[in-house]
Amino acid sequence: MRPSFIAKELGTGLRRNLTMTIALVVSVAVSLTLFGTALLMRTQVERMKGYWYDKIEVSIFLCGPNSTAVTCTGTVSDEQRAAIQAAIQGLTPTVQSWYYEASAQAYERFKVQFKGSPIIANVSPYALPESFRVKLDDPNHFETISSVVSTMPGVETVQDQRKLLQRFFTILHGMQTVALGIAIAMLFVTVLLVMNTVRIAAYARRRETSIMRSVGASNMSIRLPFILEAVTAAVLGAGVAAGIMLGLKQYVIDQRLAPSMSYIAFVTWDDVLAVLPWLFAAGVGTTVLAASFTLRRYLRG
Amino acid sequence: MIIFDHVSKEYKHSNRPALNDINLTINQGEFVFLVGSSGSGKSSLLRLMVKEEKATEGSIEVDGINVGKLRNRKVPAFRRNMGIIFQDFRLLPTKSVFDNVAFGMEVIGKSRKEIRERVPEVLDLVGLAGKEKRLPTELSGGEQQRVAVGRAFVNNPKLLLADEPTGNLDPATSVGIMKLLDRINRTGTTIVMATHDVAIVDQMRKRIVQLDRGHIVRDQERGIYGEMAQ
Repeated sequence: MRPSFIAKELGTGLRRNLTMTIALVVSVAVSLTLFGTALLMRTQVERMKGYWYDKIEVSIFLCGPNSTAVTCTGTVSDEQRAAIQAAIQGLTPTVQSWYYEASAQAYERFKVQFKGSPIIANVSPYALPESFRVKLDDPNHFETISSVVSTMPGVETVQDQRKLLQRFFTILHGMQTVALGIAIAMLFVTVLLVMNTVRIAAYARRRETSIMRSVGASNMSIRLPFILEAVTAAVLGAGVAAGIMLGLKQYVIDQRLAPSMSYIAFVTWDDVLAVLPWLFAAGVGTTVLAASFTLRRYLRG
Repeated sequence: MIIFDHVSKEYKHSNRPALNDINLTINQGEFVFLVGSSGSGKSSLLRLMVKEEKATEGSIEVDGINVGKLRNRKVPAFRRNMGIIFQDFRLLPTKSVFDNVAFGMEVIGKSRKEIRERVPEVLDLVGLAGKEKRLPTELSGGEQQRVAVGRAFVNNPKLLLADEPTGNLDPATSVGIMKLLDRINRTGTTIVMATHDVAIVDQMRKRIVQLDRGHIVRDQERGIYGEMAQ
């Protein structure tokens, strides 16, 4: 069939079935927006993991005058400190880099972190313990270093910053799963809606299709207008979903969240753009499958 | 052109076969009336010829093609060699006369040029020249059936099947349609027409195949309805 003839038939079909087409577009848009959000949340979690794991350190706090740990006998001695340092150095390459932070330095950092807070006045420069800050080649290797240094004299405690973040990631992961679950449920609803729409369209046009069959139109050319109608609705829906995603990035992430949460690495424009083709693929793919399946049943040659 | 060889057709939910051991040969260029009361098997016979139904037993050959062995995906190409006319015209109500006839060419992928040449020819043949832009609702029943005949004939089929084409028309109008079919028959197109219409059958003096409860009870050259074995 000529493309112009198909286009004309497509227009007629879409107009005749307008309310169902609108329902289909909205349903596709909602389910794909959720689907896209779920995909982006995964990217977001990966990004945050990368960002934070990169900064994660193992903090080995040394004994101070008031320490109560069994490995402590008053403030750490110079010999103990040297032994701990040697132990850390001995763990290369698990230990990627390390540095020593004296009480005074810890206090300076503390003052910067809590700038403007009255808490600073209550903390004396010597209250903060001195420490070794160790960066590992892989944050998962915490046990390796912990088992060596935690029992050494002069070490008060060994702290794994990764543990603090893990809880946060668990929450994010849960949200991602929920979003994906809703998206799948919505896609299922969309599939049902496509099947119903196509069934109604096939019934409304049984006269055309019976005529087409009787003059020898191929199955493909009989089914194509129906499939194209569903695909048009799917593409429109995916377009709306893409618009919503871009809007969320621009107005919610970039303008609202990012300025007030500078310590979080949000998804980038590239991440958002990378998700969009999947929206179109998922939208068009599911509708084509659902429409073809329905037509097979209702338009037997 | 058409050979039925010991053909039977049974429908699932019926205790009596719709067609029972039918042997029938129709030659190229013939005009054949299928007559018989409702439920005698006329429509089943037509449906088997276009492979809308499959024979339960026996073999059917149409234009050298064994219909029973025809693959499903080859059915469309097979049907392009035949035109079909229905009692209820089956026109597309939103399309003009021209577009309804052109539809038969559009759906099998004919070019715009071919359509512009052929459709006016056919409209002239069926006597609708000058009414190209009308919608079906603006036409009389006879004119609507002429559009349907035009659409069936537009691709120059070797075989034209008609299922009660005059069933919804008054006698005078029916005569006009029959003259048109006769004219098409004289171009060499084989015509098989199922009908109840006594006056038409008697007037045309063509071959009559009479069916009764799935059997052929009469096959007569130049017959008239009145001789029916009732």
